Amino acid sequence: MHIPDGFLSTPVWAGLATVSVPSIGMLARRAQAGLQDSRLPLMGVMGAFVFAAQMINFPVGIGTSGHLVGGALLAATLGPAPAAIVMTAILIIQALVFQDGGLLALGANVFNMAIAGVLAGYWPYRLLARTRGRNFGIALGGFLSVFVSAILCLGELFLSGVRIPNHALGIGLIVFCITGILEGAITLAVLGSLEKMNPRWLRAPETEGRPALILLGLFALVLVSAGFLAASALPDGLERVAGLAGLGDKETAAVAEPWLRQAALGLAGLTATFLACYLVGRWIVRWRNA
Amino acid sequence: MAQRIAPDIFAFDEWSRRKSPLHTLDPRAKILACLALLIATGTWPLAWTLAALAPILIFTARLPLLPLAFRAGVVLPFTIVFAGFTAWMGDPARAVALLWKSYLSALWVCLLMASTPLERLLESAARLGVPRLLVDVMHFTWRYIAVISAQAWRMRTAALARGGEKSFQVSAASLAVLFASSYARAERIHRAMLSRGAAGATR
Repeated sequence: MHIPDGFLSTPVWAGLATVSVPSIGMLARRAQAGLQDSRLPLMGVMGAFVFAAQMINFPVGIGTSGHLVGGALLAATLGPAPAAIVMTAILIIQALVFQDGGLLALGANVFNMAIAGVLAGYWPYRLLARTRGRNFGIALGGFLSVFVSAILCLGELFLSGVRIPNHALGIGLIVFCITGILEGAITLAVLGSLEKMNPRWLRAPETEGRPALILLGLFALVLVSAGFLAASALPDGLERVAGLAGLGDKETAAVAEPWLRQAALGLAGLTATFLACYLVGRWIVRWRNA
Repeated sequence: MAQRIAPDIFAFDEWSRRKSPLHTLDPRAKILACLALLIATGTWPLAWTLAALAPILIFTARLPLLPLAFRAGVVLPFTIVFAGFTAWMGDPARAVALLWKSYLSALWVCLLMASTPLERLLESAARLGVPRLLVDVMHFTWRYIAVISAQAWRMRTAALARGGEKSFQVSAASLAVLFASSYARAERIHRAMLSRGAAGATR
């Protein structure tokens, strides 16, 4: 789900851009730090591979088929930071050349798919890589990478005031679940074949371990998604809360202005969540090193 | 997606190499102007008046009006679905705004792409502060999309010629083969770069 321009309200796209831009800068520095010369062409060709992989259909029965999205597969083969950079490159090319997603909405799309999607795809694999549940971790990563991106996208549209009827939302969620399960299955099957061909393609996850931190991050991602989901599924509840908070009664809650406030509130919450995760992470690192 | 990796994706490539005042403008100015137009389209209440600017710019750039207008219509299927939802939920004004705002925004991006070759656009983006690594990855990705897609297409044809057994496992195996050959191609590209004296990172 690539959000085009014109959908997101200014606080939403601007806020997410201010989250995405420094994050990508940081990830680029991180990817560059561990980069051997030969990895640069590899990252580029893998971007082209993800484009081309969408041409290979996976039959799922009843005449329908799906295709690979790629975030979790890239994370398991290239590592998380390079995978996020490759996904960002793909999203920018899709926005420029295919009009798949807008240019101002790029911050939101990058956040949904290249940052949150790749991390949600990598962390389960990272956590379970050395245990018996490794394959489950890979499949779960594939599922989460798609599901978290889709829910974030829906939440951002909702915060911007785009309303979706409840049954359409229900159908959408079922479709996302199926797409997510399919992505998990494809990622697992392809990584299985790759490992048989050449085990070194499956990048061993970084050994320096901070599982608690990763679990915390994963938990935060799922929590933010679930919060968005609850907000989209129960707009009346949100409006009631807004009413209680003195942000306007139920009638005016449908007008643009309170939504703008809600969008700003939601975004502030999102930013605060990630800021909190980041600060806690920094603190743990410093505490470990001390 | 299969149809979209047709020669159609190179339409911008052809348009962007024409000559006009808009083509010779510094790409950085065009990027900033495009962003300004996008923000204006998104926030200014009278932004529909900007639509009058589109034919003027297209004419200045000596680009074909109809193909470009058609190209920007790629966003409409997505928009129509959500505009439908919004109208259904009793907000027709927003539905109409979604339609024309997303279309006009796509038109500005199409105009930028049709008047600037992608490689010059990426170089200017690097000079505007986009991380070097990201720009390099985009260069490589763009250069090899057609190559790897053609290979995926050949593999598909070959599978059909062998009898086209359709199963999940077969698709997974062919995707793994495509990955392996892409990996090998990346190694060949790296060796070719070294043999031409590449010092490592591009600057």
